[in-house]
Amino acid sequence: MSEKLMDKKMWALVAAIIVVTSALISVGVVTQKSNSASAGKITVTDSLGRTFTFQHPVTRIVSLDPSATAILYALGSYRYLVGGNQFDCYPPHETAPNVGDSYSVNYEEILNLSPQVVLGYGTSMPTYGTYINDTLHIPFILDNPENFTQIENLTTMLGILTGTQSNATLINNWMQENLANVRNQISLQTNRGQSVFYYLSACGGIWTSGNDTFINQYFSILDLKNIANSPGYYTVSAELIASESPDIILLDQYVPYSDVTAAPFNQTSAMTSSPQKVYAIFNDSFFNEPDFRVVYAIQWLAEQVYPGIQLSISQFPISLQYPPWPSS
Amino acid sequence: MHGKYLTSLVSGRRSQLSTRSAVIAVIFFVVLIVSLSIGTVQIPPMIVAEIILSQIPFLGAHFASGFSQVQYEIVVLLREPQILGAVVIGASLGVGGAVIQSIFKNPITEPYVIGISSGAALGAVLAIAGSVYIFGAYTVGGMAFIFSLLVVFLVYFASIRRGKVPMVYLLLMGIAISLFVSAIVAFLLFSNIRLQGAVFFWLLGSLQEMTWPKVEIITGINILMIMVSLLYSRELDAFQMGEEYASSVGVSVERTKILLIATITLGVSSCVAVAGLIGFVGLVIPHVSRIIFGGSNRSVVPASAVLGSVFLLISEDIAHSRLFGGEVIPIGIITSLIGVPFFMFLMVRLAGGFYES
Repeated sequence: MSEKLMDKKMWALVAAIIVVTSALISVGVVTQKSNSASAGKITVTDSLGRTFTFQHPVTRIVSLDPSATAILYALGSYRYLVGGNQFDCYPPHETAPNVGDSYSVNYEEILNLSPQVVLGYGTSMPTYGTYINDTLHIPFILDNPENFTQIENLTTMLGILTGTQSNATLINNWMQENLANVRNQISLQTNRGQSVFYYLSACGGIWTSGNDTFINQYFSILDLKNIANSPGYYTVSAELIASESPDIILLDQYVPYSDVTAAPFNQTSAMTSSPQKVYAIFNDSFFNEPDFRVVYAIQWLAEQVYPGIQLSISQFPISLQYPPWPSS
Repeated sequence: MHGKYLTSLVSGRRSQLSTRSAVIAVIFFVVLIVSLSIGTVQIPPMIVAEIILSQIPFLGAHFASGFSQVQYEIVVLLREPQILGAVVIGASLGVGGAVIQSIFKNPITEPYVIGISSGAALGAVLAIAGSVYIFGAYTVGGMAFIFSLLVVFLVYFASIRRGKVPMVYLLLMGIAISLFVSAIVAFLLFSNIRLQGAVFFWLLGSLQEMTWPKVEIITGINILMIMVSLLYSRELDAFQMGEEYASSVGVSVERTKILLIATITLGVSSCVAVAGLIGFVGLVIPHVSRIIFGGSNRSVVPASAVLGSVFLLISEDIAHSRLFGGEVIPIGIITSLIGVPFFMFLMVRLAGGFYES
């Protein structure tokens, strides 16, 4: 008797839940918004080839991409940044609220900020990008600069988007001029073609960046030979390090020097030469964020690899409260 | 004298269970309503109520005045599908756990043990790694769903012995194939360092990207799953006594097993496909139901649905609250963080020897 009564109550409860759930769903479905297409004057294309059109330059931007944030600042469009991300590092003292990072974002906060556009970073469309675009109906523009030309393209795109295209041109010209100067100076060096190994991470193996990566372009410009020949980011065997015996070892900011004092690194040319040619990156954000500040990263690396080289980077063309060059 | 004693005992027990049912029902509706007011953006409860009322067809216009468009979108586009998603997924995982534990006659099993989670992870990783877009915005979820079904199918058919599926075989085969599939997932992740972040967050589970179409899909599938489970609650009770006993009381053992496993797989896989891997619910909520309502599946199945919903709603509220400085925490972390201590407390204080025999 008791169990039967319980059954009835439980069935009634489940039925009530189903009814409430179904009612709320039907109400929600009725109120879904349609995604209206816009026609306008400004058109930009993202790294996936998708085209976005706006009536006017945008004035409310959420950036989930630290590089885009840095470029917006340099363009003079930083005042349009209404939401940033937890990896933003330049300019310092960001005041815009943090709405997430490359993996997890706070959708409520994004909607609350009413941005006209959200900028993201990645090799393919992240699921949150699809959600922002398709469900929140906010254009999600993806970028993925893998070389210096693509950094310039990103700068130009952000310039068009925010109505600061003339500043974008100034920045791109500054990059091209300085990179050309670096190439000229390197061509005068006698000890070109040294082999290099970039020690990216020691977590779960010896991680490095391969021949099609952004980091590899630094090596190309400086006429260095990356011993990691495969594409992408991956782990290499200790035997490769021992057999290739790189002339130079570049340590990521978070890889301690003690990691290269044991085999297979301790017998490499980099470690046995005098002085040792092991260089720890002074600030990851200059090396790993694909924006115009890579010019300073290349300058630093050139000065380590080619002692005595005379490299001077010209004055940055835009006056900024927080200078883009590394603080000494 | 003896009869009166039994009658009063039954009556007391009935009253106790009625009270517990009522309390849980009240908790469910209170949590459901409160959840709509909780989020990283503060919206006053009265505004939330207005927004909800404004959605009522024909009458809504009377209430559509005191809130902004942004507040409306936050409640309608984000909170409502997430909350309803939590209700459906919590119920699905809870019922899935109750059914699987009964079929396997094993209290430490859950739906994921038959390969649902590893299959879904493989599908999701393949979609992310291969930049596959065959289902558009639903590709990751779609691939997770398909691979989840494929792996369970493989586990089931690899376990067939002389026309039957012995449960020990099914359990061991599920564990073995899941480990194998997990190794493939690990290899894919190891091969592409950039995938690790995205996949890691998917594996932790999240209701953040719940949309109305997703809620509609999982609601339809899981209503079916819960109904089938309720209809077969007597058979599940018989399974708890062993397959021989079930057969002796007229249960078509193999047919019932395949029907229940298929529906649980469909329901739970659909949830995993849209929300990633949310752990703990399927394992523990059925036990909480048994502690509160006793061992019969006629009570445990519906109670697991309601308690699973309540538990996931509370977890979602915590994940979404301002406790973490505006950052939304993956719900899979919260379910374990609050669930384990709660369950331990419940076992110590309320089980009263339930697990000692």
